[in-house]
Order: sequence, then C-alpha cells, then structure tokens
Amino acid sequence: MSYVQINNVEKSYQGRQVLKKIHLSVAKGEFVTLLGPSGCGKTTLLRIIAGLERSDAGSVRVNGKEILAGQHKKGQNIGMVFQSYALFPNMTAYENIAFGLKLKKISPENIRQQVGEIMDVLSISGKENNYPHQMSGGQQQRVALARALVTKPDLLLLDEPLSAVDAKVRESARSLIRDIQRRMGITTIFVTHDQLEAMVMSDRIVVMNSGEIMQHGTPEQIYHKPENRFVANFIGTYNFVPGDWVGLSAYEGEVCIRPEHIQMLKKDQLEQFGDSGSVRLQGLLAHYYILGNTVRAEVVVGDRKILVDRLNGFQGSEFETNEEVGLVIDKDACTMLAPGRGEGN
Amino acid sequence: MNRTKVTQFGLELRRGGVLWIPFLPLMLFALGFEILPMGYIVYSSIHTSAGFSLHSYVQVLHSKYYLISLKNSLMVSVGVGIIGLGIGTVGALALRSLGEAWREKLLTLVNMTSNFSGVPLAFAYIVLLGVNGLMTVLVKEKMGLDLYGLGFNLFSWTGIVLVYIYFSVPLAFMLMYPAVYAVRQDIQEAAQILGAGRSYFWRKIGLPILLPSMLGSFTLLFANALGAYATAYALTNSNNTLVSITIANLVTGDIFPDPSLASALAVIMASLLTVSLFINERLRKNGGGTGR
Amino acid sequence: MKKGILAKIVIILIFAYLFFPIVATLLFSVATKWTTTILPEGYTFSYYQQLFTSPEFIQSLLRTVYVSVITIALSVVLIVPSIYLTIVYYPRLERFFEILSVLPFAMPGVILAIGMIQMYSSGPIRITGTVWILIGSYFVLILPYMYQATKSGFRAINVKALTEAALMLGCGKLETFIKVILPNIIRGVISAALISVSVLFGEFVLANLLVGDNYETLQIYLYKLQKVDGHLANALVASYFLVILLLSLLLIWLAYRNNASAVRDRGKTS
Repeated sequence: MSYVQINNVEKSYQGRQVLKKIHLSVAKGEFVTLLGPSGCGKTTLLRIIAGLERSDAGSVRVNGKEILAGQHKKGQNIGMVFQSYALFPNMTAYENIAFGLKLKKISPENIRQQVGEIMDVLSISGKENNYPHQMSGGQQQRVALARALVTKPDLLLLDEPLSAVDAKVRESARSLIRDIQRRMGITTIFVTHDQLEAMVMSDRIVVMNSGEIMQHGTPEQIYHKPENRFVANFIGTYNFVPGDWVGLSAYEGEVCIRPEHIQMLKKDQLEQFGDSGSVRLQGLLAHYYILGNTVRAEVVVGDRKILVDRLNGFQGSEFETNEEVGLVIDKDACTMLAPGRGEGN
Repeated sequence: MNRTKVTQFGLELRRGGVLWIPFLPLMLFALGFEILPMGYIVYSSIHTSAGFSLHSYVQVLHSKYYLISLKNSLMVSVGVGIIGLGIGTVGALALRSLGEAWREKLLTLVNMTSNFSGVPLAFAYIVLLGVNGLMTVLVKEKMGLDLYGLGFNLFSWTGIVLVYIYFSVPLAFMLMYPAVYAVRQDIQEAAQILGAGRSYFWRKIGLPILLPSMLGSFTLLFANALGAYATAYALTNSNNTLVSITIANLVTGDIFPDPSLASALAVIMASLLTVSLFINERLRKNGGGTGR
Repeated sequence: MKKGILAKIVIILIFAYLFFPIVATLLFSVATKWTTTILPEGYTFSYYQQLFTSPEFIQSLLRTVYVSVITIALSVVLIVPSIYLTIVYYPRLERFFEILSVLPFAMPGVILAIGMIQMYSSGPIRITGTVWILIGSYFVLILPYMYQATKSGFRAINVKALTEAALMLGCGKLETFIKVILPNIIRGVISAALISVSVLFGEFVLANLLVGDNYETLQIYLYKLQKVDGHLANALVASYFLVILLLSLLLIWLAYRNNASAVRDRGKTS
C-alpha cells in the first residue's frame, strides 16, 4: 500500500514538456530522492507534489487525499524546506517555527511546548529570539527544517536544502536530516543533483532526466546495476567497452565496468592471474595520478581509454608511465546496458 | 589606527606619483561651486549687518509668515510623499506579478515619465486643468461639472499637490520596484504551504518586509518635494508660501531682500533634507532603504 | 488568475495617469480647434512651424545647447580621469567623491542658487548674471548623475587588472588610459552625458535665479512664452517631451546593447 501515489503526472511550459507521464509510489516512512541534472524536472515534480504548481494531467495522492494546487488552507499537511530556506526575514527563529502552528489554531502553551521540543531536537535552542540574518547558514537551515517538521506533516519535501551551506556543515546536516527522518518515521521526498548526497541519505533513488524517470531503486541497485548509459554516466565513473571485449560477442550493446573493479598488473604477471570467469587485456599506461585515497590510471587499450582505480597504499606505486600493463576484469563486474536508452545525455 | 591610515594614504600618494594633478581642477570646481556656496549660506545665516548673531534664526521662529511657509512645505511634502509612495508601491507590486517581458518595458516607460517635471509639467497641467483647460471645459460641457465652480483651482494648493504627486509617482515606482523583490516568491510559497492565505501573508510577512524600503522611499520623495521650486513657481507665480519660493524671494525679490534670513531658512531646509537622507542611508545600510 | 487581472488594471490606471498629460499635450500641439470634443477637430503643424522659425526660440535653444555642451564636456574631462585614478591609485579618495555626489541631494537648486548669488554678486569674483555662474552651478547639478553613471561604466570592467596588464605589456600610463580604458567605458560616459542633457534641458531654478533675463535659456523662454501664447508654449512643451522620449530611447538602447554584449561574452566563457 503506497503512501504517496503519483500517477501519470505531466507538465509543459510554453510548449516544452518538462514532465512526461511520471509514475511513482512512495511507502510510508520511506526516504526517496529525486536525482538528476538541473532542468531534468525534479524540482517541478516536487512543486506539483507540494501543491505549488498545477499539473497538466495526472494526480498526486498523499495518504489517500488528492493534492490540488493552492489548497493548503484545507487541511493538506505537507512540510517543505526550500533551497534558500525562505525564512520570514521579519520574524525571529521562534516566530518562524511557530507560524504554521498558529495558523492551525493551536493553543499558545502547546505551541510553546512543540516549538521548544523541535528546537531541542535540532539543537537550536537558545536561538529563539534571533532573526534569520543573525544566524549562520547551518542554523537557518535547521530553523527551516524545524518550521517544516513542527506541524508533524504527512509528507516532508526537501528542495536541495543542502546546496547553500559549506562542505563541513553539509556533511553533518546530511546525517542530521536522515537521523530525524528515521526517528520521526516521516515520509520524505528529497531533491538533489548531488549523487553522493543521494547515495548517503536515501532508501530509494529516482534518477530523472529530461522529464522522465530513468531508473529507480536502492542506492546499491543504482550504483551497481545501472539500466542505461545515462544512469551509468551520472552516478560515479564508468568505463564503457563493446560487449565482445569481455567475451559477450552476442551482445550488441555496450558493457560498463567501474574503474575500481578492474585489476591492474605488471605485464609479466598477467599470465598467472585470473580464471575462466575473467577477461585479460593489455594496454599502455598513459597517465597515473592521485585522486586522494585512490590512485587513477589511464590505460590505453586499442582505441579506448580505460580508467582503473586502486587504493592509494603507503608503499607508493610500482608502475611507471608508458609502461605496458595487464588488466584483469571479472565478468561478474560487467553490467550490460540496454541499448539506445538515455544515450545522448 | 590613525597612524596606519596616514601611512597608507602616503603610500598611495607615492605610488601614484604626479597623478594627483588631474584632481586639482575638479577639486577647484567642487570647492568653488559646491562646498563654498554651502559654507557661505551657513556663514550668511549667522552674519547680519550688525555682525555675528543668531538674529535671523530668531526672526524665522518669531515670524508667523516664515513658520507658515515651513509648515506648508512640510505638509505638502509629507502628503505628496505618502500619496506618491502609496501609488508607487501598489504599482510596483502589480508590475511584479506581470510577465517578465512586460516588466522591463513598462519600467523604462515609467523611468521616462520621471523626467517630466518643472515648468513643462506645470504647463501641461495648465493646458489640461487650467481655467480654460481641455479637461475643465470638457467636463463642464459633457458632464455639467464646473470644476472651478466647485472650488477646484489649479493655481492653488490643490494644483501644487496634484502636480507634485504626478512627479513623485514615477520616482516612487522606481524606488519601490527593486524593494518589492525582497518579498521573494519562495517566502510567499513557504507561508502558503504552512496554510497562510494571501491577506494573512501580506499582513504578517509581506508588508513588514516592505516597510523599511517604504520608509526609505518616503524620505527621498519627501526630500524631492521639499526642494522643488520650478513647478510651484510656474503654477502660482511665486504667490504662495512654500519655503523654497520664500527663500528665493528673499534673495532676488526687490521689495524686502534679506539674504541672511534666506540663508537661515535655507539652512533649516537643508537640515531637514539631510536628516531625511540620513534616515534613508541608515535604512539602506540595514538592508531596507532604497538607493538612488 | 484574479490577481493577474487586478494587477493589469492597476498598471493600466497608473500608466493612463502618467501618460494622460503627455498625450494631451502632444495632441493639443497639432490641434486646430479643440474645445468640447474628445479628440481635436482638426490637425495642423502651424504651431511647430511658428515656433521653429521664431528667432527668440532659436536663440534660447542655442543658449541651452551651448551651456549644456560646455558643462557636460567640462564635467567629462574632469570626472572621468579622476574616477579612473581613484580606482587605480587612490582608492581612499572614493569617499570624497561619494560625499561630493551626495551633497547636491541635501542642497536643491534654490539653496545652491542663493549661496552662489551671495558669493558671486560682490567680492573678487563677480559672475552673477553671466553664463559662467550657470556653467559652474550646472556642473554641480549634474555631478551626481555624471559620477554614478560613469562609475557604473567603470564597474563593468576590471579596471585595475586591465591597467596592470597594459602596463606590463609596456604601455605608458596615459596611453593605457586612452587606448585601453577609455574605449571600454565610453558607453557609461555616453549614458552619463545623455542623462545630464535631459537634466539640463529641463533646468529652470538655477537659470531663473542666477541669470534670468541676462541669459535666457529654453526653460526661461518657455516660462515667458506660456504667458503670451499658450499654443506656441504648448508646441514647445510637446517638442520637449519628444526630445526626452528620444533621449530615453537612446539610453535604453545603450543599456540594452551593454546587456546584450555582456550576455554574449558570458556565453563565450562558459
């Protein structure tokens, strides 16, 4: 039984279709991320779910109730955190958070208690009387989150709320959001263009491109089993090779392999490694550079350049540039891509 | 602190070499036509034929005539400021909700009308609403309304306020247009999602956000109206008691020239202007006021 | 949807209010007879013809053009190099310029005029009633506009980097200013000049108080004409409106070209 049900949603702006027949269901308590490049339609979809925008066709139901644009006064209970937080600049942190409760005609004592609780949970107690411009980006973010959560919404929508803070704050905010979401068991739809963020936070990722859902699944599925070239390209780094290279001559499409799933060896060691389940290739090591905790090698095999990642060990590298090297690829590490879909990015 | 400043400036001077020379003529002009005349007014206001005294200021404060001219100017400027601001704000808000393509074009049109002031504007109004003006006659013939019979007179306070409002509206429009964008779309949507209706949003959030800019714009409109001279002069032939007209009459008039008194009034007026501009500057620094 | 209609009505009302006097003036200037009808009963260009062949008009127009051109040229020559030098060599002087360009706001025409009259009617420099005092006061009047518009021209380019790049390539200081900086800010200077033209063509206070009949500018001529011949004066006001309209269009065009080229450049780099 799905909690949020999106059926056949379509939307066009000035003749340009930005959402094409979107179907999606989200279970109660699930954390779902809409991931895609800018202009893929993810924000438009979120705004339609929020009731801020009218869809041209299709329907959105949350907890059995249909969402209609502009009907927020009539008991739709959705919380949203905006990209720029959209805090009310003329109100203190406390007044911002209490705003939604006041509109629900909740008694002042109850408001005080609920606002106090949520501020405590988000560790912004003590900032009650600060105005938005008197707070740091991270604090503003928490106030925005508190404002969305305090009404105990049926559904929480997050529109790239982490993009405006610096890297350190972002990392702690990620786990904070995930933590609270789990604790409160609140169904959440999160929009981002950052694949790492999506991986870390989501129960399920929905990858979108030009108004269509390219694939959805758990982070593991999305990372290890991309269904098409777009998803493979968008999430991390992939090598794309023709099927016959890895002994799949019958397969017409391309095959992709993660750089970290390829083993690189000295040329003379190649014979001793690998079994019937693996493929051996030879190439020229063109480039070798440090990315951080991994080291990346660019190996030229035939007319293709294959990337190989290895852990950056303390002993340094035994390879030299322009050296002939051997590559071993496990056939199980190869993912076949559906030909034709999502090619042109 | 002070010392590092001096050395810093010394450094700049040394780096520029003789390049400070091009500044000289500019400074000379600024001194001769801006700073000295201003200083001279202050000097003249406390210097009468009898020597240094505050006599002129005392005279202003004890003369019903001058006090009334100050009061008239203040009332006209405040009234015009409020009405102009009201129309400008409503206009800017309306413009905000129009499509982008229209917005820029309409704004440039408004900007253009902000150039129409002074004698030509007064004359345009005379053509329209003078005793034999187009509108006056038309309204009388077609609707049987005798404007002048009903007490309207373009060459009086009514006329002055009417024409002042006209030249305040484009200015208010231009000042408030950037300000209404402080009420961002996403803030409005955030309130909407939390269940706030349109009027509730404007009462609790929209207007409070706009208020500092409105106050800032008001100070500029007020200052603009207070300093205006040509429009009133052209409409009423200097037969009214606005402080700007009074000041000019006291210097150029043949009957009772009293430059010291004029200077005292000018200093009072300049102080009012400085205070209002200062308020705007303050608001602007706090992110609210409006720029010029 | 309701909101959109309301906004349109408000906009239409305000624009009707703003353009009504202008349209009426323009129509009246070509009307033969116009008393009790909505539109004029007939059209003619005779008022314009009369106006443009009147020697007094030509004289006053020439005077205004003369004093405007001299003031603006002087202003450009004095202000543009100074702003440049301030940016590159004396950043601390910027505060001084800001003060100079803000002062006129606290000192409207009337105040400036009576200060000048008192200073320059007696004593060593007696220039009241001559064109010189008008040029001096106009210089102050347009200073804020000249400063702001020129400054924004400078803001659009990285003056310091350009100067340093040119100097390192062996370009002289004066040559750098003329060949590298000037061509890049010329649009800002032109808009500054155009804004000043529209300000000076509409200037009445200073002319009336400082020179009056001794140097009858366009606005003073208009003020007098209005009492003698309403129709001619109206033709003059209409022409003035048209000139302002033309100047505004020119300014918009300049600004638009600026934007268009900026967008193009951005497109190139990204």
